Amino acid sequence: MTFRRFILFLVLALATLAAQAQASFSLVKPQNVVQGRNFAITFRLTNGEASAPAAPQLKGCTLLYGPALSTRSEYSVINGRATSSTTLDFSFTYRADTPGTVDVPAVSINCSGKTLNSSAARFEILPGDASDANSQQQGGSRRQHDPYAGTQTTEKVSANDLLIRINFSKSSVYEQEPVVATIKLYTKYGITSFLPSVQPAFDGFLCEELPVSNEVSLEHYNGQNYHTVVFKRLLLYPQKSGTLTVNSGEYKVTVEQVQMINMGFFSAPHSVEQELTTKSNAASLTVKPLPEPRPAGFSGAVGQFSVSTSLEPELLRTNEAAVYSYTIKGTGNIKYLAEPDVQFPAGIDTYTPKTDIQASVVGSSNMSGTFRTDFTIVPQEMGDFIIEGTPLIYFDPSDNKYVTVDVPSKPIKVLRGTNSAPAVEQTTLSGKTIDDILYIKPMSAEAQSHNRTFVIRSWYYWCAYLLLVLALVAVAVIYRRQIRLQADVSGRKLAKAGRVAAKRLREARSAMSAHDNDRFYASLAKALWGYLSDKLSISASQLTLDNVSDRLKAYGLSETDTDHVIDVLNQCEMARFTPTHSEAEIAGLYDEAAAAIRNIEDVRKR
Amino acid sequence: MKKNLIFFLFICLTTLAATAQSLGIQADSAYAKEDYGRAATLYEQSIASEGQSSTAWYNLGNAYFRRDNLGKAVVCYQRALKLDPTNEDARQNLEFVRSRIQDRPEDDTPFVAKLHRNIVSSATANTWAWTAFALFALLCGAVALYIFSRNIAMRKTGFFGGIVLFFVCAYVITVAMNAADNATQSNFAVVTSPSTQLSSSPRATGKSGDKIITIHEGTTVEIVDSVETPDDPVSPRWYNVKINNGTKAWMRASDAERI
Repeated sequence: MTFRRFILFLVLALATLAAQAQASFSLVKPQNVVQGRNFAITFRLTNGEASAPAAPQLKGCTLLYGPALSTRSEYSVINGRATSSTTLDFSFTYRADTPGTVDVPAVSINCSGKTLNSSAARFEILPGDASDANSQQQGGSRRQHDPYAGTQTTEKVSANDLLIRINFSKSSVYEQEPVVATIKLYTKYGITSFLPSVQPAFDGFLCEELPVSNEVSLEHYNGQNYHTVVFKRLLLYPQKSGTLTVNSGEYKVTVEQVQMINMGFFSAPHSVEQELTTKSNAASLTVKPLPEPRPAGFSGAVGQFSVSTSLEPELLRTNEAAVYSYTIKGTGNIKYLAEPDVQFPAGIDTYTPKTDIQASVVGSSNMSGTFRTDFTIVPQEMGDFIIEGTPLIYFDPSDNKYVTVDVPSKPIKVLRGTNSAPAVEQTTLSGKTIDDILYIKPMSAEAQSHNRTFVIRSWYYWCAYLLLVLALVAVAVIYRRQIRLQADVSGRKLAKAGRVAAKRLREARSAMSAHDNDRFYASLAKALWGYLSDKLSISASQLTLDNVSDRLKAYGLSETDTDHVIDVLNQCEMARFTPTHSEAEIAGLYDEAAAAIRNIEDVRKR
Repeated sequence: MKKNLIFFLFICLTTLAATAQSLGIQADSAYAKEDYGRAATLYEQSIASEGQSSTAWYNLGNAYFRRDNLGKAVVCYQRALKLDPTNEDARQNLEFVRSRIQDRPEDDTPFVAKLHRNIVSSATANTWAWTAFALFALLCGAVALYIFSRNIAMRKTGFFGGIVLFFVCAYVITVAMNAADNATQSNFAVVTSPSTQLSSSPRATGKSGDKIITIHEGTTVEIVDSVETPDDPVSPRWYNVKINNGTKAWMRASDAERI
């Protein structure tokens, strides 16, 4: 409960605090004055109570009276909201004695325990009109030309009484460097209407209208004091070099003159209006060209700029749009910059960039703001890419030089988009060529040498051929010899077979003549078997009648002859085991055996 | 003290080695930084001091091309191909540069000669030489087969294979010799001045009656003959050249560079 009450109290306290506006103390900006005239310096205290401050000492001025106090209070209720304000003015009246610049110092007062300071200000005391000296001596009033005091005579308005002047803030600028043109009306009379009939033409400039305050001030010009009003201020960007001239404009001005009509005892003021056509002066400006050589990539930015880039979102996906922003921030011809030429890598689609300019006037003669270009990009392929930073090159007129703002390259990574179908569009690679030379190869790839050798011109190359031929010949010779040797081994055996058989037959014959039957049969069988073994290259273990028969047939012996050989062999075996044989039988067997051997021998010769 | 001296020597030697080894690599990095003028100078120095290689000439050709020096580029690519006819990159770039030069000489070499030329340039002279040797070894094998085999089919194979191998081997030896000749002889020159005039005699053509042909940078000509011309103020030597369609004419030697 108590807590709730506390809250309520707090809210109420805050509300009253808000209603009670802050007290402020200021100096009402003093106007220029003409020498010899009285003027007031006013300090204004809003929403506060304080005693009058001490009168400031002003150079060349005499304090006549002060402080004079005036109070004003306001109370208003708007939509149930009550606001109140009180204003307290402290005025000091001075007389301007000597022409020159006067500084009004800051003044401080004590307002309910707080010390408030006014700001310092400066104004000018202008010398009197050059022609006034005469009229003064003739006893005329110095105030005769005061438009607000009225004139006694309807003199003709001379060209000097009404002037319209075009002024440039600088006499010489660079191309694209801003300059302020001011069109000011100088008058000695009251003006009731003012209409331009021909506007001055600002050819060769880009114009930017600046706000004007329509404040009337007093100015000394060509020895005369005028009331002046700035009715037009333009920020101009020269677009070409050379001397640029602004044509004079023509204005219809209605001047009000106050005539005093003598009505006997008193004279009454009567205003007379007079329409005049006034021409302004033609102003010219020297525009210097930007210094040569202009760096490559310079696109006409003049001033002081900085660049920042951003990518939104940072994480890129295929077929999903992202925005790459290139923001130029600074002071200069920010409204008239060229769009940056950002190059995006292949595989990223770009759309027409959108540019957003936000610029405002700073100070009195320049424009600052941001020039932001948004590139909408849609990556089409996955992978790592680099968005090359596009540097901004501008000309700094205060330093007379070109400045390059480097923009770092931005590496990006494109992932597969979630809403994009993974279907791949097939592209044909055939017929696609890069129209350029191939890149260099690393120098370490191949050894460098001063002299080269050609194998075909060297002696050892041809020697290798010779060696190969010699080797072939040598191998052939050796092979031949080897063949011959191998041929001799079996040939000798073959040749020997007949001789061994003959020898054994002779042995059998001697046994026959000695009538030694057992020895005869044994040697005859030995002769036959041995001969067959050698002749047919059959080892002793393989010697059977079947084998011999087969081999003999394979050897090329006829059927009858083979049977004959087998028959002889059988008779030999049989005769060895039958004891008695006649002489004729033995001789017959011997002849048959010899004939069989002869038959086998004959096979080779056939 | 002694240690210091050794250390100093070591430093000297290593820096020496580094500079000697890095000329070509420096050139590579200059090329990569697109400083083609410096790259060309460094490649030239590398070739002069460290000896030539197909890669070095190829890279120098690239550097010259980047500086729009097409004539020099053609010379370099052809030198690269002379050293290594299998340098496909050099061949491709040479074709590319030739497509950029002004003159397009006609090539009316017969088909067989073209085929032979392509065969010769498809491998280095040494590769061809060793191929020939391998073929000869095979030939010996075939002869051995014929001599030693008992089998009649094998012997037939050896005999006919031997005959074929003999001719192939003889051709490959010819190819190897041609390749070696191509790699050493410099019968060709490339026009390096923006344009030059071919005249019918080895002197500057002044008279209007002289028949002349104008050829441009990058065109390759075959040098048939050359004469000293001490009287000529511009060029002390004139080449008698043959341009591809067989026309013979004379040109200033100073306008061309031998490959």
